[in-house]
This record gives sequence, structure tokens and C-alpha cells, in this order.
Amino acid sequence: MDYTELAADVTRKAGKLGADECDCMMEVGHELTVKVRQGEVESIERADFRGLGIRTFINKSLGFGFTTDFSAASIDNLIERSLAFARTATPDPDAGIPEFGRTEFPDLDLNDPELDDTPLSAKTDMALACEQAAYDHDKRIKYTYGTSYSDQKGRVILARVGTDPIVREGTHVDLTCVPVAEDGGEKRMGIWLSAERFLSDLEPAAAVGSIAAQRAVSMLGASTVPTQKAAVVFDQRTGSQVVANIFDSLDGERIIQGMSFLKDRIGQKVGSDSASLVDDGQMARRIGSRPFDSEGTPTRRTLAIDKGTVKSYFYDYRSARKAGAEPTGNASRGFASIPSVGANNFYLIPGKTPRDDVIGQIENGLMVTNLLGFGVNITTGDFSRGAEGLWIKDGKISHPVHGVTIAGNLLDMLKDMEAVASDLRFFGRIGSPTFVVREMTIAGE
Amino acid sequence: MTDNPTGFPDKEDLERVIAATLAKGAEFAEVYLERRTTDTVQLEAQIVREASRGITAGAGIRAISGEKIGYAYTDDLDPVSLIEAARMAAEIATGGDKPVAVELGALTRAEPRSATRIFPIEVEAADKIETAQSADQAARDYDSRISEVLIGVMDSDKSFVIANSEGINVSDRQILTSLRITTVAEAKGLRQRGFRSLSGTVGYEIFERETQQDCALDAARQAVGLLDAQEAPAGKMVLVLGRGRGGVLLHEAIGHGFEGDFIRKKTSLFTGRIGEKIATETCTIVDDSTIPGLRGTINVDDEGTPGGRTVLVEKGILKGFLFDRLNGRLMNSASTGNGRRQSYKYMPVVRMTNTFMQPGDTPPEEIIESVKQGFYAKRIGGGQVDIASGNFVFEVMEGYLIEDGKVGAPVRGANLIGNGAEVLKKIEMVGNDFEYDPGGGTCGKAGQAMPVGNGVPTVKLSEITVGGTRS
Repeated sequence: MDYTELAADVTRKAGKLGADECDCMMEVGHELTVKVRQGEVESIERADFRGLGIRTFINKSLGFGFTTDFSAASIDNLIERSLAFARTATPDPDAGIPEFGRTEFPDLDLNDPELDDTPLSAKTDMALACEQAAYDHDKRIKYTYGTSYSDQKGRVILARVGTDPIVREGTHVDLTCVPVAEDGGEKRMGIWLSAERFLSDLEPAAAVGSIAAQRAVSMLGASTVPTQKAAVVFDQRTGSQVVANIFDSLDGERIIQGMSFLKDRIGQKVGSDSASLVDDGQMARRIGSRPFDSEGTPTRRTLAIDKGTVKSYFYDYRSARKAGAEPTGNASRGFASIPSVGANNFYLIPGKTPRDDVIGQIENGLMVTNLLGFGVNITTGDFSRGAEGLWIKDGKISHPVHGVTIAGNLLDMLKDMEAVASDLRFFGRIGSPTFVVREMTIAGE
Repeated sequence: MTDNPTGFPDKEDLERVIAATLAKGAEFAEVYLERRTTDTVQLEAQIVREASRGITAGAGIRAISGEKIGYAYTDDLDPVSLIEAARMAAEIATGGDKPVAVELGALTRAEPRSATRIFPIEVEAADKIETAQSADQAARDYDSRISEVLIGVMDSDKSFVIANSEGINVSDRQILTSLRITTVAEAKGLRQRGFRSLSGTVGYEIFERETQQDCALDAARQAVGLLDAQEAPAGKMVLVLGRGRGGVLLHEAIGHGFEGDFIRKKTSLFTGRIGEKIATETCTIVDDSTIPGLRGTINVDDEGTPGGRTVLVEKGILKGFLFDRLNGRLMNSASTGNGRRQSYKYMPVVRMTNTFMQPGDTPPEEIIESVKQGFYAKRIGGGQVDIASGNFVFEVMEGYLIEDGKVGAPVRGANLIGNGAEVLKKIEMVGNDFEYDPGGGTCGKAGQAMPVGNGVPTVKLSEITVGGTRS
């Protein structure tokens, strides 16, 4: 089946049936997931996947349809229903389908040519080696909650009436290990993963397993601490979760809805000099990189917060029009959804201080290695999440801590961001180095 | 409705697919065919942000060899693609090539638990939009401080066939209709959020159960109420959990520990403890997928086993676990009808359906009156649980202080932190005011979103840690 031609066909058909504007996004590819357990393969999942989504506008009112069934009957049903929705929906003068920014795009090196040629057994062995490394790291690791290898190769086709379709391809590999350390009746879970575009860029399987094991073992014997105000250190993984919250706060749709505490803050200094955050869709070989976003707008580098000052929000076409701004190449969607604002590679710009020196400067505080719960309110900035980690006393790790909540407000956390280490690491599209927030409420007993 | 929903391959095709799945030596093979139509209307700032139709169709094929599973799915239902997927799944076994004969029974239809009257597929596009708009209007009319309203009206109509190497050949049709409302209230630079949902395995007659406007008013009242809330206190205190929506905590913090895959892998802290007293005597917990119309209700599970009722805890004693076929077989138990999957793209996993704590005999007023100082978590939001330790954290959407036996000032930004096993031993009083959570929930185990129902009466715990912003 010529998928590119089919996508173009769908848009022409919708145009003939009455759509003023129309686009079709199609995703096709294949994927593999291997799960291992106790030195044996537990499951192998494989699939060839495909799907397409059709956006139609009549007088600026949107109707949408998506399907995995590419039969003519199903596509006709979708176009018809999509147009029925478009006829009855409310118009949005800012909605619509933008022209593609370009027809030629730079090669960002996102497609691992060796992935498909690597035998299944080599991939299975990586997962097994990863799990074994967790057991070898410490006798108290007796099982893992999950160890898996997965990869995917996919193609995205974007078609609109009056232009040739544009196409991008990419691969995605990841290795994840979640071992459980057991001592007496006590059980502790550790998580570590490596996710990349290229198989050869993955962290070695043994390293993923032993770091995960180390994170689990280090929590054995954890206790709670008295309720107090103290410094909080976020490591690369928990830091990237906070960075993701900051992305959500800069999401242009939320800004327009008034659902972000960073509304009306452009040009204002809201954070410390250490707080610089950037989204960059053009980084070679990175997970979040792509030549064009889900509406065909070329991606770019957008400095959103520069030394504490808010410089830009993130927009897709519609939210940009509402805000009177330019789209930033952040339209994000799968075939089954309409575009919304999403990160490309969004990260906290690292500092120059090595991680150990950053920790060495902490007199009294908590290094958070695991965050629990969903207690982040982007509208108000209120941040209150369950936390586990390691207590730091006089620059040294003193003992593991669990059963506490760390609470504050994202605005204060930006303001109180003191030291940012040099150890930037990405977890998918979001990246963070280790960093310190000068003071938060740590609620224990 | 015909017994073989349109577009699905026939019995002989499925027999060939199952035979191909067994060809390498697997001892069990299963094919799951699904076709689903979903409509979604999302309203935002009084504009229809999304009005959509989705049609998904595909097949998932599973081979089991010992404890190993091979799984393949395809978005193409033609017999050639199914055979190709069957060959991929079959490779999990290494018993060489051998021809296998498979004979399926005649296709039977699962007996429906919930009678649908107004099938979503027959509701006009314009009527679905009107449902969302009337809810939006009701929320805005409640109070001028309501600054934003988001409405989602979603329905799903799913037909599927499950056939396996043991001869099962069953079809079913499941309907799910849902409403989700988020409100934002704004005053003096402060913004607060309210949320309300309504969901069930019925059609558009669900709005006869409760109108969309009443749901919207509830969400609006919540957001406006929080404008006057004080910051939550932090520390250990007596907790009263509100009826209905408090069931989220039961599902997440305790229920997952009863799931048979965690039992088999010994990752649950309830492993090997049947017959032990794990909770106070006031506590009885069941999982029941047979109650008509609830969000987690099913006719058959996604392996073709009829849904059932399983007593998990009776008067504090651990009585049973939930199983799918695989984990049941490996644990010498029958499936309890809890093998569920998000779609053909996923392997079935042991999942809860509707999970409840049975009512006790204490009137709720008596429970509140018994608390000198404490915290009343009327509505719980999202939560997260570490399965290994049982530690959990939940966000409180609507919470109040209790002072001298009376519900006092509203508080915002509170979290509940605790441990599932410890909570069971701290249940001091159970109310006689049981209520289903009208919105139910969506469970995210194993990366698969699954509709579930829950419910609790008012419950008093002797102690829980409240994490707040006020130290």
C-alpha cells in the first residue's frame, strides 16, 4: 500500500465533500517489547501498527476522525462523521491548518539503520544482561518488578490539500530495569532506564541494571524524618519530573486558559540566575528531535526561561494565533488525537559544578530519588508530592528517607533554585541535571 | 446485532489462526478480535475544541508456553495478516514445527449485564455537542467567579470475539458513556480547580441517573469552595475518608495487592497470607463486575471468562485473590474473570473491575462526632502506589479540618501519605452510608488504561500522614 498517496487521497476526498481545510496525519511502523524475569524471557510482543487521523474544518469549525482500519468504507464513514461534527461545532477563528513551513528539512540523524538488522536474540540478551547485573550488584536483589527492552521504527506522513505530503522517520530504543531489594520484611524498589534513538547510544545493559539495583538497595532501612524546612536536591530523574512540570506551566494553551501560574510573566524575572530552560527540536540523535512538528511547522530552539527571566511560552498554530505569537514548533499529536502543545527536547541548562560538589555544599537536606503522587497544581504552582531519597548531612549522604512529602510552590522553587550541576541527562523528551532548591517544607512526623 | 459482528473473520479462519499459533509447541493459543467506535466532544472556553469519531479495529494473538508469552497484534483483520501475526506470537515456543488441529465451538454471545437503551452510535453529533454545552452553561451560571470550564463527553461501543485453543468462541458488545468536568474558579489572583465525572457501562440514558447540569454544579461548587480554603496542615492525624470517591484509595492503595500476577510473582505483601487477619473486623472488601451499569462492569472478561464477584477480605480475614487464566493456572486457581486489556494492542493483565468496601453499621454523623481533631478527605484525586512496599500518596481534591466533632474549614493542597497494609489495620469505624463513586476511575496498571468502578462508605482511620504546605 502506498501510504503517502493514501494520505493525500484522504485530504482530496474531504475537500470534495465540503471541508474548507483538511489535513491527514498517518503513522505506520513496527515495534518490539521483550520482558525478562529471573533469567528467562517472560514475554515477547511484536506488532505492525498503522493509523490515520483526519482534521476537517468548515467555517473554522473542527471535526476530527481517526482509524486503524484503512478500508474505503471506514475512511468514508470517518470523513462523513468528521464533517457532521464540523458542521455543528462552534467556530474558532484562530483554529485552522497552517501551511507547511518548508518542503525540505535537515537530516537530524534520527533513524538507526542497524536496528532492524539486529537479531531478536541480541535484544533479548541485552534485557537478560541488564537483569543479571541487578542481581550481581547486591545479594539483596532477588527479583525485579520488571526488566524490559523495547524498540520501535516509525514513519509519520503529513498531508494537506495543495502541497506534497511531508514525511519523517525515526527509531526509538529503550532499556528499563526495576529491581526490588529485600531485607528482612522490607522491600524497596529502584528504577533506572536508558532511552535513545540509536541502539549504540544506549547505556550499557549492565550499567542500567546495576544503577537500578544501587538505587533500590540504597533505600533499605529508610525511615521518616521530623517535619522541617530544609534544602531539597533533585537528582537527574526526579529533577526531570520537576522540569516536566515547568514545561506544562509554559504550555501556551494553559497560558491562554489561565491555567498556569506563569501566565502574564513574559519579561519578568521569576527564577534565580541558575534557572535557564530551553526546548530544542533540532538536536542530533535525540528522542525529542524531529524536523517538523505535528502540523508541519519546522522545529527550533526556544529559550523559554533565561537566567530566571521568562522569555517565551510554547505554542502550536492555534494557541499561537490566540496569543498573537508565532508557533514554536511544539505541536504534538498521535494519529488518534488533535494537536496540543508538547515538548521536543526540553531541559534545564546544566551548570559547571560536578554533581558531587553540589551535594557537598548541602549542610542539611534531602536528595529526592523518587517522587510519588500527582500533587502538582500547574494553575496555582502548588507542589506537594510524596518523596523518598537520601538525607544529606554536612555534604555527605547520611541515611535513606521515606514516608515524607515535600511541599512548596513551583514559583518559589524556581526562585530558590540554587546550584545546578553539570550532569544533564535526558529521560525521553525531558532532561535535567542534579539541582538544589534552597528550602522546601519536608513533612514527615 | 448478529452474533458475528461485521467484518470479523469466520470460525474456520480463526481455527487456522489458532493452529498457526500452536504450531511451534505452545500449549495455549488465543485470538482476540476487536472493533470499536468512539465519539469524543471536548469543550473548552465554550468552544468545541474537539468533536471526533474514532474507529479502531485489529487483532491480538497470544501464545503461552509454560510461563512465557508470545504476543503479536495487527491493525489489519484480514486472514493473511492474522496468520502472519500468529507466526510471530508462536515463536515464543521452541518445540519445532508440528501440525495441530483446532476445533472451535459455535460462536456464543455473552449475556449482557447492563441493558443499553440509547446506543451512543445512534445519538446525533449535534446532540453530543449540546450535552457538553448545557453542562458548561450550568457551571458558569453557578457563580461569576467560575472563570473556565472544560467538558468532555465520551462514548465507546466495542464489539469483540475471543477464541482459544480450549474451544472458547465468544462474542460481546460493551458500551461505555462518560462525562468529565473540570472547573476553575478565580478571585483575588487565586485560582482553584474542581472536578467531577459520571461514567457507566450504559448509553446516553446515563444522564437520567444524574443530569450533566447537576454534575457541572458539583464541580463548580468544589472550585468556588476552595477559594476560601486555607493551606493544608502537615503531620499525623485522624482521617475520615468520604464515601463514594474515597474508593479510589481502596483500589490503588490496597486492591492491587490482591491481583494474582503480583501474588504469583510474590511482589504483593499479601502473598501466601490467605486466612490471615490483615484488617480490622469492620472491613470487608469485594471485587464485583456483575453490578449492572457501573464503569467497571463486564459481561465476559477479555479472555472470555464470565465476570464474577470475588470476596477479597471478609471481616478482616484475607479470603481470596483475583486471577486471569495464566496466573490462575500457575497458581492452581480458576480465573475469577479479571483478565482485562485496554485493546487488541495489549496482552490481558489481571485487573480489578468494581472494587468496594462493604458498608458497616455506624451512621456517618457519629463517625465525624467521634473525632476531636482530624482531617476529612471528602474527595480523593489521583494517587500513586509503590507495589513493593505498599506506600502510597494521594492528592485530596476536597478536604476539611475536623474540630471537636464538626466538619470545619476547607483546606487545599493536601496529600495523604500512608501504607496500604497499615491502613487496613487502622480502620476504626465503617459507615452505613455506602455509595458507588459515580465517575469511577481509570486504572493505569502495566501501561494500559482500564475503566474501573469503586465505592466505599464513610471510613475512619486512627491515623494517617497528611502532607500539606503549612508546617
